[in-house]
Amino acid sequence: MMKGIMKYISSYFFLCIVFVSFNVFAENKDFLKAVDSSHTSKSFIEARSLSLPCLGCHGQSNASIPSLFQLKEDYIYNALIEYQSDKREHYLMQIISKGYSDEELKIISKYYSLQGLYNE
Amino acid sequence: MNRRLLLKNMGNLGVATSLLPFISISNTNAKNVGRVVVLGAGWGGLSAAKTIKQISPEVEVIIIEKNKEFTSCPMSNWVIGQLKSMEDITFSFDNLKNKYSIKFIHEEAINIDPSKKVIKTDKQELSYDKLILSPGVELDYSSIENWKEDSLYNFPAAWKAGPETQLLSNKVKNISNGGVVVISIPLGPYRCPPGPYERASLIASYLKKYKKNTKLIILDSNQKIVSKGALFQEAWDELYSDIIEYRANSGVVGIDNLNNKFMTDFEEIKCDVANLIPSQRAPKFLKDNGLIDKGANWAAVNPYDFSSSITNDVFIIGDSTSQSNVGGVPKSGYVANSMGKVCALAVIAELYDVEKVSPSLINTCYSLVSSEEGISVSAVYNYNKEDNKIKSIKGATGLSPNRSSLIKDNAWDWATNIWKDMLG
Repeated sequence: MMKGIMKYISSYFFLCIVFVSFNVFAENKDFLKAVDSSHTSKSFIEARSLSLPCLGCHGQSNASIPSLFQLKEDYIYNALIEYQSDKREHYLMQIISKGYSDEELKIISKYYSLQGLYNE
Repeated sequence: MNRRLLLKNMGNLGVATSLLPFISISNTNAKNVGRVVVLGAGWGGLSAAKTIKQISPEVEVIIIEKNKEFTSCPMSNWVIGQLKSMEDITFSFDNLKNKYSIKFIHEEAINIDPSKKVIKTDKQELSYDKLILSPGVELDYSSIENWKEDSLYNFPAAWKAGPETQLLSNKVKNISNGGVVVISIPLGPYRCPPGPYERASLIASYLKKYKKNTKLIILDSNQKIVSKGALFQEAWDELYSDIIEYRANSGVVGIDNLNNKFMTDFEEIKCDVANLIPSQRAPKFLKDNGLIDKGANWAAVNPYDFSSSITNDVFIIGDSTSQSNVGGVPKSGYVANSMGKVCALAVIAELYDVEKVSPSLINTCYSLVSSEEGISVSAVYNYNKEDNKIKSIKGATGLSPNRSSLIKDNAWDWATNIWKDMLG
Protein backbone atom coordinates (compact mmCIF):
# COMPACT_ATOMS: atom_id res chain seq x y z
CA MET A 1 0.00 0.00 0.00
CA MET A 2 2.66 2.50 1.15
CA LYS A 3 4.91 1.40 -1.67
CA GLY A 4 2.15 2.10 -4.17
CA ILE A 5 1.60 5.57 -2.78
CA MET A 6 5.33 6.31 -2.80
CA LYS A 7 5.59 5.15 -6.38
CA TYR A 8 2.68 7.38 -7.33
CA ILE A 9 4.20 10.36 -5.52
CA SER A 10 7.63 9.85 -7.03
CA SER A 11 6.34 9.56 -10.58
CA TYR A 12 4.20 12.65 -10.01
CA PHE A 13 7.24 14.44 -8.63
CA PHE A 14 9.27 13.38 -11.63
CA LEU A 15 6.70 14.67 -14.07
CA CYS A 16 6.44 17.97 -12.22
CA ILE A 17 10.18 18.48 -12.34
CA VAL A 18 10.37 17.66 -16.01
CA PHE A 19 7.49 20.04 -16.66
CA VAL A 20 8.99 22.84 -14.57
CA SER A 21 12.46 22.30 -16.04
CA PHE A 22 11.17 22.39 -19.54
CA ASN A 23 9.03 25.44 -18.89
CA VAL A 24 11.75 27.37 -17.17
CA PHE A 25 14.13 26.51 -19.94
CA ALA A 26 11.74 27.73 -22.61
CA GLU A 27 10.78 30.90 -20.76
CA ASN A 28 14.32 31.85 -19.96
CA LYS A 29 15.96 31.02 -23.19
CA ASP A 30 17.26 34.54 -23.67
CA PHE A 31 18.65 34.77 -20.20
CA LEU A 32 20.20 31.34 -20.50
CA LYS A 33 21.65 32.28 -23.80
CA ALA A 34 23.26 35.33 -22.25
CA VAL A 35 24.52 33.30 -19.33
CA ASP A 36 25.41 30.37 -21.47
CA SER A 37 27.29 32.03 -24.28
CA SER A 38 30.40 31.88 -22.17
CA HIS A 39 31.39 32.26 -18.56
CA THR A 40 33.34 35.26 -19.69
CA SER A 41 30.22 37.17 -20.68
CA LYS A 42 29.45 40.23 -18.61
CA SER A 43 25.86 39.24 -17.79
CA PHE A 44 27.05 35.92 -16.44
CA ILE A 45 29.61 37.54 -14.19
CA GLU A 46 27.07 40.20 -13.15
CA ALA A 47 24.47 37.61 -12.14
CA ARG A 48 27.09 35.75 -10.14
CA SER A 49 28.43 38.92 -8.56
CA LEU A 50 25.00 39.81 -7.14
CA SER A 51 23.93 36.27 -6.26
CA LEU A 52 26.99 34.51 -4.85
CA PRO A 53 27.05 36.40 -1.52
CA CYS A 54 23.58 35.00 -0.66
CA LEU A 55 25.10 31.50 -0.57
CA GLY A 56 26.79 32.34 2.72
CA CYS A 57 23.47 31.57 4.42
CA HIS A 58 21.32 29.96 1.73
CA GLY A 59 22.98 26.70 0.75
CA GLN A 60 21.60 23.38 -0.35
CA SER A 61 20.19 22.31 2.98
CA ASN A 62 16.81 23.38 4.30
CA ALA A 63 17.42 23.52 8.03
CA SER A 64 16.42 26.78 9.71
CA ILE A 65 17.49 28.79 6.63
CA PRO A 66 15.71 27.84 3.41
CA SER A 67 17.62 26.85 0.30
CA LEU A 68 16.93 29.04 -2.74
CA PHE A 69 17.75 26.29 -5.20
CA GLN A 70 14.77 25.10 -7.19
CA LEU A 71 12.44 27.77 -5.86
CA LYS A 72 10.45 29.50 -8.56
CA GLU A 73 11.64 32.85 -9.77
CA ASP A 74 8.34 34.59 -8.94
CA TYR A 75 8.32 33.12 -5.47
CA ILE A 76 11.84 34.38 -4.68
CA TYR A 77 11.18 37.80 -6.21
CA ASN A 78 7.86 38.32 -4.43
CA ALA A 79 9.33 37.28 -1.10
CA LEU A 80 12.21 39.73 -1.54
CA ILE A 81 9.84 42.56 -2.49
CA GLU A 82 7.68 41.83 0.55
CA TYR A 83 10.72 41.92 2.83
CA GLN A 84 11.88 45.12 1.18
CA SER A 85 8.54 46.85 1.82
CA ASP A 86 8.31 45.37 5.34
CA LYS A 87 5.13 43.49 4.46
CA ARG A 88 6.84 40.28 5.44
CA GLU A 89 8.72 40.05 8.73
CA HIS A 90 12.15 38.63 9.22
CA TYR A 91 14.81 40.06 11.53
CA LEU A 92 17.48 39.76 8.84
CA MET A 93 15.89 39.60 5.39
CA GLN A 94 14.11 42.93 5.95
CA ILE A 95 17.61 44.44 6.14
CA ILE A 96 19.32 42.47 3.35
CA SER A 97 16.50 42.93 0.80
CA LYS A 98 16.85 46.72 1.00
CA GLY A 99 20.37 46.45 -0.41
CA TYR A 100 19.19 45.79 -3.97
CA SER A 101 17.31 47.62 -6.71
CA ASP A 102 14.25 46.05 -8.28
CA GLU A 103 16.32 45.08 -11.31
CA GLU A 104 18.95 43.44 -9.09
CA LEU A 105 16.32 41.48 -7.17
CA LYS A 106 15.02 40.17 -10.50
CA ILE A 107 18.48 39.04 -11.55
CA ILE A 108 19.04 37.29 -8.19
CA SER A 109 15.60 35.60 -8.34
CA LYS A 110 16.22 34.37 -11.85
CA TYR A 111 19.72 33.19 -11.02
CA TYR A 112 18.55 30.97 -8.15
CA SER A 113 15.49 29.65 -9.95
CA LEU A 114 17.83 28.45 -12.71
CA GLN A 115 20.65 27.25 -10.51
CA GLY A 116 18.50 24.48 -9.10
CA LEU A 117 18.30 22.94 -12.53
CA TYR A 118 21.92 22.14 -12.91
CA ASN A 119 23.55 22.39 -9.51
CA GLU A 120 24.17 19.18 -7.66
CA MET B 1 17.32 16.22 -7.83
CA ASN B 2 20.89 15.95 -8.91
CA ARG B 3 22.52 16.75 -12.18
CA ARG B 4 22.73 13.18 -13.39
CA LEU B 5 19.06 12.49 -12.73
CA LEU B 6 18.05 15.72 -14.40
CA LEU B 7 20.14 14.86 -17.43
CA LYS B 8 18.61 11.41 -17.59
CA ASN B 9 15.12 12.85 -17.40
CA MET B 10 15.89 15.45 -20.00
CA GLY B 11 17.35 12.74 -22.18
CA ASN B 12 14.00 10.97 -22.05
CA LEU B 13 12.38 14.02 -23.53
CA GLY B 14 15.09 14.51 -26.08
CA VAL B 15 16.12 17.92 -24.84
CA ALA B 16 19.38 16.87 -23.30
CA THR B 17 21.33 18.01 -26.28
CA SER B 18 19.97 21.51 -26.00
CA LEU B 19 20.85 21.70 -22.32
CA LEU B 20 24.23 20.04 -22.50
CA PRO B 21 26.25 23.03 -23.59
CA PHE B 22 24.70 24.97 -20.74
CA ILE B 23 25.61 22.38 -18.15
CA SER B 24 29.20 22.04 -19.23
CA ILE B 25 29.72 25.66 -20.20
CA SER B 26 33.11 25.87 -18.68
CA ASN B 27 34.54 22.69 -20.10
CA THR B 28 34.03 23.58 -23.72
CA ASN B 29 37.27 25.52 -24.05
CA ALA B 30 39.39 23.10 -22.10
CA LYS B 31 42.73 24.81 -22.40
CA ASN B 32 45.08 26.19 -19.86
CA VAL B 33 44.13 29.82 -19.45
CA GLY B 34 46.41 30.49 -16.54
CA ARG B 35 47.61 29.62 -13.08
CA VAL B 36 46.22 31.24 -9.95
CA VAL B 37 48.17 30.78 -6.72
CA VAL B 38 46.29 31.45 -3.49
CA LEU B 39 48.14 32.02 -0.23
CA GLY B 40 46.07 31.04 2.80
CA ALA B 41 43.25 28.51 3.03
CA GLY B 42 41.08 30.55 5.34
CA TRP B 43 37.71 32.10 4.59
CA GLY B 44 38.93 34.48 1.89
CA GLY B 45 41.37 32.16 0.13
CA LEU B 46 39.06 29.15 0.01
CA SER B 47 36.11 31.24 -1.25
CA ALA B 48 38.24 32.71 -4.02
CA ALA B 49 39.78 29.38 -5.02
CA LYS B 50 36.53 27.45 -5.14
CA THR B 51 34.64 30.19 -6.98
CA ILE B 52 37.31 30.30 -9.68
CA LYS B 53 37.27 26.52 -10.11
CA GLN B 54 33.46 26.35 -10.11
CA ILE B 55 33.21 28.89 -12.90
CA SER B 56 36.38 28.06 -14.82
CA PRO B 57 37.70 24.55 -14.20
CA GLU B 58 40.35 25.13 -16.84
CA VAL B 59 42.14 27.65 -14.64
CA GLU B 60 44.86 25.95 -12.58
CA VAL B 61 44.45 26.79 -8.89
CA ILE B 62 47.12 26.08 -6.27
CA ILE B 63 46.71 26.91 -2.58
CA ILE B 64 49.70 27.41 -0.30
CA GLU B 65 48.67 26.71 3.30
CA LYS B 66 50.71 25.61 6.31
CA ASN B 67 47.85 23.78 8.01
CA LYS B 68 46.74 20.39 6.74
CA GLU B 69 43.13 20.94 7.75
CA PHE B 70 40.71 23.82 8.15
CA THR B 71 39.70 24.97 11.63
CA SER B 72 36.98 27.58 11.70
CA CYS B 73 37.43 30.76 13.73
CA PRO B 74 33.70 31.55 13.52
CA MET B 75 31.96 29.12 15.89
CA SER B 76 35.17 28.53 17.87
CA ASN B 77 33.52 30.46 20.72
CA TRP B 78 30.97 27.64 20.81
CA VAL B 79 33.84 25.29 21.73
CA ILE B 80 35.05 27.65 24.47
CA GLY B 81 31.45 27.87 25.74
CA GLN B 82 31.29 24.03 25.89
CA LEU B 83 28.55 23.78 23.23
CA LYS B 84 30.64 22.13 20.50
CA SER B 85 33.95 20.29 20.18
CA MET B 86 37.00 21.00 18.02
CA GLU B 87 35.94 18.14 15.73
CA ASP B 88 32.72 20.05 14.97
CA ILE B 89 34.67 23.01 13.57
CA THR B 90 37.54 21.16 11.84
CA PHE B 91 37.34 20.00 8.21
CA SER B 92 39.54 18.43 5.56
CA PHE B 93 40.43 19.94 2.18
CA ASP B 94 39.60 16.67 0.39
CA ASN B 95 36.56 17.91 -1.56
CA LEU B 96 38.53 20.83 -2.94
CA LYS B 97 41.35 18.49 -3.96
CA ASN B 98 39.19 15.74 -5.42
CA LYS B 99 36.06 17.46 -6.74
CA TYR B 100 37.60 20.73 -7.87
CA SER B 101 41.19 19.65 -8.65
CA ILE B 102 42.63 22.36 -6.45
CA LYS B 103 46.22 21.55 -5.57
CA PHE B 104 47.38 22.10 -2.00
CA ILE B 105 50.95 22.83 -1.01
CA HIS B 106 51.42 22.64 2.75
CA GLU B 107 54.47 24.86 3.00
CA GLU B 108 55.40 28.27 4.33
CA ALA B 109 55.51 31.20 1.90
CA ILE B 110 58.81 33.06 2.10
CA ASN B 111 58.61 35.87 -0.45
CA ILE B 112 57.15 37.18 -3.69
CA ASP B 113 59.03 38.37 -6.74
CA PRO B 114 56.40 40.46 -8.57
CA SER B 115 58.70 41.23 -11.52
CA LYS B 116 59.12 37.51 -12.30
CA LYS B 117 55.62 36.65 -11.02
CA VAL B 118 56.98 34.01 -8.69
CA ILE B 119 56.15 33.14 -5.08
CA LYS B 120 58.75 31.20 -3.08
CA THR B 121 58.02 28.79 -0.28
CA ASP B 122 60.53 27.15 2.05
CA LYS B 123 60.80 24.31 -0.49
CA GLN B 124 60.03 25.58 -3.98
CA GLU B 125 59.30 28.41 -6.42
CA LEU B 126 55.89 28.75 -8.00
CA SER B 127 55.13 30.94 -10.96
CA TYR B 128 51.70 32.56 -11.17
CA ASP B 129 49.56 34.50 -13.60
CA LYS B 130 47.49 35.88 -10.74
CA LEU B 131 48.34 35.75 -7.05
CA ILE B 132 45.65 35.98 -4.35
CA LEU B 133 46.87 36.66 -0.82
CA SER B 134 44.55 35.90 2.08
CA PRO B 135 46.94 35.55 5.00
CA GLY B 136 44.64 36.69 7.83
CA VAL B 137 45.98 38.56 10.84
CA GLU B 138 49.11 38.55 12.94
CA LEU B 139 48.82 38.86 16.72
CA ASP B 140 50.93 41.69 18.07
CA TYR B 141 52.19 41.26 21.64
CA SER B 142 54.78 44.06 21.40
CA SER B 143 52.85 46.40 23.70
CA ILE B 144 52.37 43.78 26.44
CA GLU B 145 55.01 44.14 29.11
CA ASN B 146 56.64 40.87 30.29
CA TRP B 147 55.21 38.94 27.35
CA LYS B 148 57.25 35.82 26.52
CA GLU B 149 56.68 32.91 24.15
CA ASP B 150 55.76 30.62 27.04
CA SER B 151 53.22 33.11 28.40
CA LEU B 152 50.78 31.56 25.92
CA TYR B 153 49.91 28.71 28.24
CA ASN B 154 48.68 31.02 31.00
CA PHE B 155 47.41 33.76 28.70
CA PRO B 156 46.06 32.10 25.53
CA ALA B 157 44.53 34.34 22.87
CA ALA B 158 42.50 31.61 21.15
CA TRP B 159 41.96 34.18 18.40
CA LYS B 160 43.06 31.81 15.65
CA ALA B 161 41.10 28.62 16.03
CA GLY B 162 43.36 25.71 16.97
CA PRO B 163 45.19 24.35 20.02
CA GLU B 164 44.69 27.58 21.99
CA THR B 165 40.93 27.24 21.49
CA GLN B 166 41.04 23.79 23.07
CA LEU B 167 43.31 25.05 25.85
CA LEU B 168 40.99 27.92 26.78
CA SER B 169 37.96 25.65 26.51
CA ASN B 170 39.55 23.20 28.97
CA LYS B 171 40.42 26.00 31.38
CA VAL B 172 36.84 27.28 31.37
CA LYS B 173 35.49 23.77 31.88
CA ASN B 174 37.79 23.07 34.82
CA ILE B 175 37.52 26.38 36.67
CA SER B 176 36.76 25.99 40.38
CA ASN B 177 33.75 27.49 42.09
CA GLY B 178 34.57 31.07 43.09
CA GLY B 179 37.06 31.45 40.22
CA VAL B 180 37.64 34.56 38.11
CA VAL B 181 37.82 34.61 34.30
CA VAL B 182 39.31 37.72 32.70
CA ILE B 183 39.08 38.58 28.99
CA SER B 184 41.25 41.35 27.57
CA ILE B 185 40.03 43.03 24.35
CA PRO B 186 42.37 45.06 22.10
CA LEU B 187 41.68 48.34 20.36
CA GLY B 188 40.06 47.96 16.96
CA PRO B 189 40.45 47.15 14.20
CA TYR B 190 40.77 43.49 15.04
CA ARG B 191 39.37 40.28 13.54
CA CYS B 192 35.67 39.67 14.32
CA PRO B 193 34.45 42.80 16.16
CA PRO B 194 31.64 41.10 18.16
CA GLY B 195 33.76 37.98 18.85
CA PRO B 196 35.14 38.91 22.28
CA TYR B 197 31.69 39.89 23.57
CA GLU B 198 30.15 36.67 22.28
CA ARG B 199 32.94 34.75 23.99
CA ALA B 200 32.28 36.57 27.26
CA SER B 201 28.55 35.79 26.94
CA LEU B 202 29.10 32.09 26.29
CA ILE B 203 31.60 31.69 29.14
CA ALA B 204 29.18 33.53 31.47
CA SER B 205 26.35 31.31 30.28
CA TYR B 206 28.40 28.21 31.17
CA LEU B 207 29.52 29.58 34.54
CA LYS B 208 25.95 30.50 35.45
CA LYS B 209 24.77 26.96 34.80
CA TYR B 210 27.60 24.86 36.20
CA LYS B 211 29.76 26.88 38.64
CA LYS B 212 29.12 28.79 41.84
CA ASN B 213 30.22 32.32 42.74
CA THR B 214 32.37 32.78 39.67
CA LYS B 215 33.08 36.13 38.03
CA LEU B 216 33.92 37.22 34.50
CA ILE B 217 35.76 40.51 34.12
CA ILE B 218 36.01 42.12 30.67
CA LEU B 219 38.94 44.52 30.26
CA ASP B 220 38.14 46.42 27.08
CA SER B 221 40.71 48.76 25.51
CA ASN B 222 37.83 50.39 23.65
CA GLN B 223 35.54 53.11 25.00
CA LYS B 224 32.51 50.90 24.66
CA ILE B 225 31.35 47.54 23.29
CA VAL B 226 32.56 47.64 19.68
CA SER B 227 29.70 45.75 18.02
CA LYS B 228 26.04 45.05 18.83
CA GLY B 229 26.56 47.02 22.05
CA ALA B 230 22.96 47.54 23.13
CA LEU B 231 22.02 43.90 22.47
CA PHE B 232 24.99 42.50 24.39
CA GLN B 233 24.48 44.93 27.27
CA GLU B 234 20.80 44.07 27.53
CA ALA B 235 21.56 40.33 27.63
CA TRP B 236 24.30 40.81 30.22
CA ASP B 237 22.05 42.96 32.45
CA GLU B 238 19.23 40.46 32.28
CA LEU B 239 21.18 37.20 32.38
CA TYR B 240 24.56 37.76 34.01
CA SER B 241 24.29 40.85 36.25
CA ASP B 242 25.97 38.93 39.09
CA ILE B 243 28.70 37.39 36.85
CA ILE B 244 29.91 39.87 34.20
CA GLU B 245 31.81 43.03 35.10
CA TYR B 246 32.50 45.18 32.04
CA ARG B 247 35.27 47.78 32.22
CA ALA B 248 35.67 50.15 29.27
CA ASN B 249 38.95 52.00 28.55
CA SER B 250 40.86 49.28 30.41
CA GLY B 251 43.54 48.07 28.03
CA VAL B 252 45.97 45.48 29.36
CA VAL B 253 49.52 46.88 29.30
CA GLY B 254 51.36 43.99 30.92
CA ILE B 255 51.17 40.61 32.55
CA ASP B 256 52.60 39.00 35.66
CA ASN B 257 53.59 35.51 34.54
CA LEU B 258 54.32 34.19 38.04
CA ASN B 259 51.14 35.34 39.73
CA ASN B 260 48.81 35.10 36.72
CA LYS B 261 47.84 38.76 36.78
CA PHE B 262 46.77 41.27 34.15
CA MET B 263 48.04 44.83 34.52
CA THR B 264 46.16 47.85 33.24
CA ASP B 265 47.16 51.49 33.79
CA PHE B 266 44.97 51.50 36.86
CA GLU B 267 45.05 48.08 38.51
CA GLU B 268 46.36 44.52 38.74
CA ILE B 269 43.84 41.72 38.40
CA LYS B 270 44.43 38.13 39.48
CA CYS B 271 42.96 35.61 37.04
CA ASP B 272 42.09 31.95 37.39
CA VAL B 273 41.48 31.85 33.65
CA ALA B 274 43.04 34.61 31.52
CA ASN B 275 42.25 35.24 27.87
CA LEU B 276 44.56 37.82 26.35
CA ILE B 277 43.36 38.89 22.90
CA PRO B 278 46.20 41.12 21.66
CA SER B 279 46.27 43.87 19.03
CA GLN B 280 46.28 42.74 15.43
CA ARG B 281 47.77 43.74 12.10
CA ALA B 282 48.40 42.27 8.67
CA PRO B 283 51.08 39.54 8.70
CA LYS B 284 54.73 40.59 8.43
CA PHE B 285 54.94 38.68 5.14
CA LEU B 286 52.89 41.42 3.46
CA LYS B 287 55.05 44.19 4.92
CA ASP B 288 58.29 42.40 3.96
CA ASN B 289 57.02 42.16 0.39
CA GLY B 290 56.19 45.85 0.18
CA LEU B 291 52.42 45.33 0.07
CA ILE B 292 51.67 47.64 3.00
CA ASP B 293 52.07 51.41 2.80
CA LYS B 294 54.69 52.95 5.06
CA GLY B 295 53.41 53.46 8.59
CA ALA B 296 50.27 51.41 7.94
CA ASN B 297 49.29 48.13 9.60
CA TRP B 298 47.03 46.74 6.88
CA ALA B 299 47.42 45.96 3.18
CA ALA B 300 46.69 48.59 0.55
CA VAL B 301 44.09 47.44 -2.02
CA ASN B 302 41.79 48.83 -4.68
CA PRO B 303 38.26 48.36 -3.37
CA TYR B 304 36.77 47.66 -6.80
CA ASP B 305 38.44 44.27 -7.18
CA PHE B 306 40.81 43.88 -4.17
CA SER B 307 43.86 44.09 -6.37
CA SER B 308 46.94 45.36 -4.58
CA SER B 309 47.31 49.11 -5.05
CA ILE B 310 51.08 48.57 -5.04
CA THR B 311 51.80 45.52 -7.25
CA ASN B 312 50.25 44.19 -10.49
CA ASP B 313 48.59 40.77 -10.74
CA VAL B 314 48.41 40.48 -6.95
CA PHE B 315 45.11 40.53 -5.04
CA ILE B 316 44.69 40.79 -1.28
CA ILE B 317 41.50 39.79 0.51
CA GLY B 318 40.14 39.14 3.97
CA ASP B 319 41.17 40.45 7.37
CA SER B 320 44.59 41.74 6.28
CA THR B 321 43.13 44.46 4.02
CA SER B 322 43.11 48.09 5.09
CA GLN B 323 39.73 49.52 6.00
CA SER B 324 40.97 52.98 5.11
CA ASN B 325 41.35 51.68 1.51
CA VAL B 326 38.40 49.31 1.31
CA GLY B 327 35.87 51.24 3.36
CA GLY B 328 33.98 50.37 6.51
CA VAL B 329 33.57 46.63 6.11
CA PRO B 330 34.23 44.58 9.23
CA LYS B 331 36.96 41.95 9.46
CA SER B 332 34.52 39.04 9.50
CA GLY B 333 34.34 35.56 8.02
CA TYR B 334 31.31 36.45 5.93
CA VAL B 335 33.07 39.51 4.48
CA ALA B 336 36.19 37.45 3.68
CA ASN B 337 33.92 34.96 1.88
CA SER B 338 32.30 37.81 -0.09
CA MET B 339 35.67 39.41 -0.86
CA GLY B 340 36.93 36.04 -2.11
CA LYS B 341 34.04 35.85 -4.56
CA VAL B 342 34.50 39.44 -5.77
CA CYS B 343 38.21 38.79 -6.26
CA ALA B 344 37.53 35.45 -8.04
CA LEU B 345 35.24 37.16 -10.55
CA ALA B 346 37.81 39.92 -11.09
CA VAL B 347 40.58 37.37 -11.65
CA ILE B 348 38.43 35.50 -14.16
CA ALA B 349 37.59 38.77 -15.91
CA GLU B 350 41.32 39.54 -16.19
CA LEU B 351 42.26 36.05 -17.39
CA TYR B 352 39.59 36.13 -20.10
CA ASP B 353 40.07 39.81 -20.82
CA VAL B 354 36.50 40.92 -20.21
CA GLU B 355 35.15 43.92 -18.34
CA LYS B 356 34.92 43.63 -14.55
CA VAL B 357 31.60 44.13 -12.81
CA SER B 358 30.95 46.37 -9.83
CA PRO B 359 31.40 44.41 -6.59
CA SER B 360 28.53 43.38 -4.32
CA LEU B 361 29.11 42.06 -0.79
CA ILE B 362 27.09 40.88 2.18
CA ASN B 363 28.01 40.64 5.83
CA THR B 364 26.09 38.88 8.53
CA CYS B 365 27.58 38.22 11.96
CA TYR B 366 25.60 36.02 14.29
CA SER B 367 26.62 36.02 17.95
CA LEU B 368 25.28 33.94 20.79
CA VAL B 369 24.45 35.76 24.01
CA SER B 370 23.78 32.51 25.85
CA SER B 371 23.75 28.79 25.15
CA GLU B 372 20.15 29.29 23.98
CA GLU B 373 19.88 32.63 22.18
CA GLY B 374 21.62 34.71 19.54
CA ILE B 375 21.70 38.20 18.03
CA SER B 376 22.87 39.41 14.61
CA VAL B 377 24.12 42.33 12.58
CA SER B 378 23.85 42.48 8.77
CA ALA B 379 24.66 44.75 5.87
CA VAL B 380 24.78 44.80 2.09
CA TYR B 381 27.68 46.68 0.49
CA ASN B 382 28.52 47.91 -2.97
CA TYR B 383 31.11 50.11 -4.61
CA ASN B 384 30.76 53.86 -4.30
CA LYS B 385 32.44 55.50 -7.25
CA GLU B 386 32.69 59.04 -5.83
CA ASP B 387 34.52 57.91 -2.70
CA ASN B 388 36.28 54.94 -4.33
CA LYS B 389 35.22 52.79 -1.37
CA ILE B 390 33.02 49.84 -0.54
CA LYS B 391 30.07 51.27 1.38
CA SER B 392 27.05 49.85 3.10
CA ILE B 393 23.84 50.61 1.23
CA LYS B 394 21.53 53.05 2.93
CA GLY B 395 18.73 51.24 4.75
CA ALA B 396 20.40 47.87 4.25
CA THR B 397 22.31 47.69 7.48
CA GLY B 398 21.15 46.87 10.98
CA LEU B 399 20.80 44.64 14.01
CA SER B 400 18.31 41.99 14.94
CA PRO B 401 15.64 43.72 17.05
CA ASN B 402 16.22 41.34 19.96
CA ARG B 403 17.80 38.05 20.97
CA SER B 404 16.10 34.79 20.06
CA SER B 405 16.51 31.03 19.82
CA LEU B 406 15.77 31.26 16.06
CA ILE B 407 18.94 33.32 15.64
CA LYS B 408 20.91 30.66 17.51
CA ASP B 409 19.59 28.01 15.11
CA ASN B 410 20.31 30.27 12.14
CA ALA B 411 23.85 30.84 13.41
CA TRP B 412 24.75 27.15 13.34
CA ASP B 413 22.98 26.58 10.01
CA TRP B 414 24.78 29.60 8.56
CA ALA B 415 28.10 28.12 9.62
CA THR B 416 27.24 24.71 8.19
CA ASN B 417 26.21 26.32 4.89
CA ILE B 418 29.15 28.63 4.50
CA TRP B 419 31.64 25.87 5.42
CA LYS B 420 30.10 23.84 2.63
CA ASP B 421 30.16 26.87 0.34
CA MET B 422 33.93 27.03 0.81
CA LEU B 423 34.89 23.39 1.37
CA GLY B 424 32.02 21.27 0.04
